[in-house]
Amino acid sequence: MFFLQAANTSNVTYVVYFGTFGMLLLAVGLIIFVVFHQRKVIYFQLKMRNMQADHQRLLLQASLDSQEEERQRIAADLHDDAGPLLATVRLYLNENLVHQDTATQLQSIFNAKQIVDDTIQLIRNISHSLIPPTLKNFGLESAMSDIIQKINGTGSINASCRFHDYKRRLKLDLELSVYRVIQELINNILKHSHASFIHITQNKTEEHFYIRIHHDGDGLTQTGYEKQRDNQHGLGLKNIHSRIRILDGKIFFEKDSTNTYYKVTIELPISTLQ
Amino acid sequence: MQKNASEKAKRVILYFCLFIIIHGIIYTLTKYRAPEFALYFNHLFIPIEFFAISYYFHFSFGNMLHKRIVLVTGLLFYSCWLFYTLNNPEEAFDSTVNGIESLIAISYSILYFYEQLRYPKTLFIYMQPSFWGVAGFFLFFTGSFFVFIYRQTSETVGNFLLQYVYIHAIFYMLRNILFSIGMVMKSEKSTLPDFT
Repeated sequence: MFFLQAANTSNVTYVVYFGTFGMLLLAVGLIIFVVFHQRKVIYFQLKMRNMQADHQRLLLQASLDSQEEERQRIAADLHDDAGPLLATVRLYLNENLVHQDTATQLQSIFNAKQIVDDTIQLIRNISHSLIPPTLKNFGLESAMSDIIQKINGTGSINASCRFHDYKRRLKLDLELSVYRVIQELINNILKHSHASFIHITQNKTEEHFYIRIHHDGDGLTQTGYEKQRDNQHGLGLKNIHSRIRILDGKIFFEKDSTNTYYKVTIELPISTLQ
Repeated sequence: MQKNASEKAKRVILYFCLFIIIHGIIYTLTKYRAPEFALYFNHLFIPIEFFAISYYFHFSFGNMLHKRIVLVTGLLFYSCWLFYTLNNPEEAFDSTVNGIESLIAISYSILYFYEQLRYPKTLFIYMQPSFWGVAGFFLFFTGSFFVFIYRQTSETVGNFLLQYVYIHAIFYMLRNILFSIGMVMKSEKSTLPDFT
């Protein structure tokens, strides 16, 4: 107010000149700042977009690799195991069989039947590895119990599993995804951690579905997980990441505050599971 | 849609510049022959100028909230203008209304720059015609702000009026130069470059 009422000529002149100069300086400064900063913002956004695209590409590649690996395994099983068995059956049942005596014929047929049985078992095993029958027929809880039994059967590690709130089964494809993630995590623990126990628990809140895996071996922390996942060789972890992303969930790798065990938490939103 | 808005904004600037020229001619011609008409005619300058500014920013903003801010601020400003004009009908220049108009235009410009930083559309902001129009308004109103708010009280003090004419003329020319740059620029729908 004082300035506005200034009656002194020099005062008004100074205020007007300095004010105008100051305002102009601020305006020009702001425009220059906007011009340069906006470019930085765009470069940053493009960089982020490219990083996300790279990450997506890596995940897609991992998924394709894993599919290809699975196909090759099935092809190898069929070619190396089922192929020779069926070829042997063909040998037993060749055209000369009709010219041979009855005892030889019966022996050949019996042998062929045995081999056909083996082949059926082999094909069943291959199909079970694609989707475990326990999972298909009885659900995630039973499938996990099956795995735990098998692990305990080795006698080298103590495994346990407890589902606290699993009255209603999830859809089969979701159960299979969760199962594959847990299977991969358990495989990693068995292969790399030298743990003496594995304990799996399931819990649910109104919003989230949780699976927690505790073990006392050498585990991963979140940073380690992210580092290995983004590594070109971390195919298993990439698969875990992409499966969790498809389920719209999160995965946390933590070390207990007492430094006695590691904990992996899979958090899935109930909304995507229903 | 973006190109259309840009073209409309350019047209607003063109009509605004034409209006200023016509206003200047009519005011000069009637100032001495019909001073009362000139005074009332002059009162219309601010609302029309503010309308042009609001219209221009309305087309330049991309965010709906910012567009609504322009509408609400416009209503407030016109109420304010009506109040001051009815209270001082004999004043040829009202510093308060001019000061408020300048502050609103400066705020719109800052909001526009903020929007450009928050949701950038092009790599180079100065490739957009709207940038030059906004820069023109921004520099004009920041530069003229002090002379506007002092004019009513200090018109008779020393050679203030001369200072006013100089400063106002400088920023007026600067604004028109920036407007011209915006007008000759092509309003193309810009896309961000892909560095992949």
